[in-house]
Amino acid sequence: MTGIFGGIDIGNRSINAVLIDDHNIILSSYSKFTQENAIIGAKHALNKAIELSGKSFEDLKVIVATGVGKKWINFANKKSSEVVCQALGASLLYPQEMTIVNIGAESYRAINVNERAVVTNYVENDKCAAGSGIFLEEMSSALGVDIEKAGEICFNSPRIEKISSFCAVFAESEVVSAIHRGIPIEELLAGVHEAIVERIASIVRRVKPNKEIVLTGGLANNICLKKMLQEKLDITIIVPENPTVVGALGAAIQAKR
Amino acid sequence: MWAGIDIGSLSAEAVIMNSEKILSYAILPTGGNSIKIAEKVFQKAVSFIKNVSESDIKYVVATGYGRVIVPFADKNITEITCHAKGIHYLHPSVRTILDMGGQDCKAIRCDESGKVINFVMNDKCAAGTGRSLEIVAHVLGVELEDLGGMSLGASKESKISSRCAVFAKSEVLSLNRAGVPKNEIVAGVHDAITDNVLELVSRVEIEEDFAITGGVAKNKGIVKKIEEKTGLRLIIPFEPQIIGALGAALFAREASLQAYMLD
Repeated sequence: MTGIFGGIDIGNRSINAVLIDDHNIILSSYSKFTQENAIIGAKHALNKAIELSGKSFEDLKVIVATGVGKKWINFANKKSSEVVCQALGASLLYPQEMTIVNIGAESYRAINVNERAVVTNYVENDKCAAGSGIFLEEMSSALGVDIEKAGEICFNSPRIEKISSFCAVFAESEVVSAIHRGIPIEELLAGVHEAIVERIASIVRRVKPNKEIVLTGGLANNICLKKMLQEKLDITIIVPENPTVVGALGAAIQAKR
Repeated sequence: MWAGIDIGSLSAEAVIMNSEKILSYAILPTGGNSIKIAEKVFQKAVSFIKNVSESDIKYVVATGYGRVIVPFADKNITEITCHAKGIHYLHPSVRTILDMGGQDCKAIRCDESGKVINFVMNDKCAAGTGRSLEIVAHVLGVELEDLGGMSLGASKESKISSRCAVFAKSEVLSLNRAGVPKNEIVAGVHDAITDNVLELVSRVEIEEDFAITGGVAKNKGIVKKIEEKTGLRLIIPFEPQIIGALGAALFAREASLQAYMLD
């Protein structure tokens, strides 16, 4: 049987699709930064992934949806939890014992998996914006910086301006008044990154992390965040080539099962 | 004459009183310069009283988060203590106070003499503060002052599932885009905020009478929600924003009289 299997991850800020064949080989992946309607966005992402794979829609045997918007995907054959999908996806890329740190727009989680891709422990936060991608989004916009460039801008900052507010709403006022005081943007951004790393490190410590961390989700491409988190936890951090599609990859593996 | 000054995160208040009564009060937005605003709000309150100048004020107590930077204050006292003192002066029967300010929210229990027995405070998170209502008003393009009235007219209520003010902002935005009537969204926001603050109040255990103070107390939608959920009638002072400053003025009077006795 030569079918293909699809996974779709509907996040708060991005929609991702991955196709695999029946030997778990990744055929294609597509990722889009969007806040559009979940079902329209998911269909679009899936069609793009099919196009990239050179296959046709008829080859697609099973589709599994995950992510915060999974309930809207009525054409999916099954829904699966974000934690399980992260574990399966990361384990396919790195078949080893590890701790996955997944930082999304409105949630972040630390997941311990063993060498058989089984989740042994996890902690997540989806109640508060502190430490999430939205926190960085709000602060970048207050500082007039493109979120995609935020990590690079402060990567070599000689100084870190500490942000004392925990809440994103209060941190925004704090950042704005610091700009008025003349604090350089890179120092403020460094402080914003430090605040996020502080929150993420605290949940990672709660799972008692394994020897290696695999960083996934939209913020995994941020080089400053990676550097600071690595220093803070003193654990090697690996970032997959395409960290935003790990959840969708896990969903595709579920589809094959 | 004595004065109390409350420098909050979003607004500043001054109250001037003599040995008998409150003579005047003023409320101004805090803005960027706390020292300047302390002087301004004090001057404004003084200007309301005929033939009186600032030098006639014998003793000034400052309170609120900016209390330490009021240069002309003789003393500063925490806002928790001042709130209990202020409410006791106006409504001696009150034992529980919910103060909903611009950037924090506190529940205070006091005894029959207006002394604080217990308090719980949230100043780490914007959920349930005036600031979160400001964000909602901004996203919906309506005035902060109109939120209360809007929600009272709603026949239905949207469900706001986020507790975090930042996440709630996205929820409000997408409900608004989906064409949900604004008053239903606002009613939903009020419901979520009320749940948040009542959790705080439950930690000090509500004892009657129950009063609400701070800028948010002017929001009739929130007040009605709290009354519905607790089954209690709320006492709302004639000007809920000046209670901290009033308490400070009362402490100024006491301190000044004590000094006089010692002389």
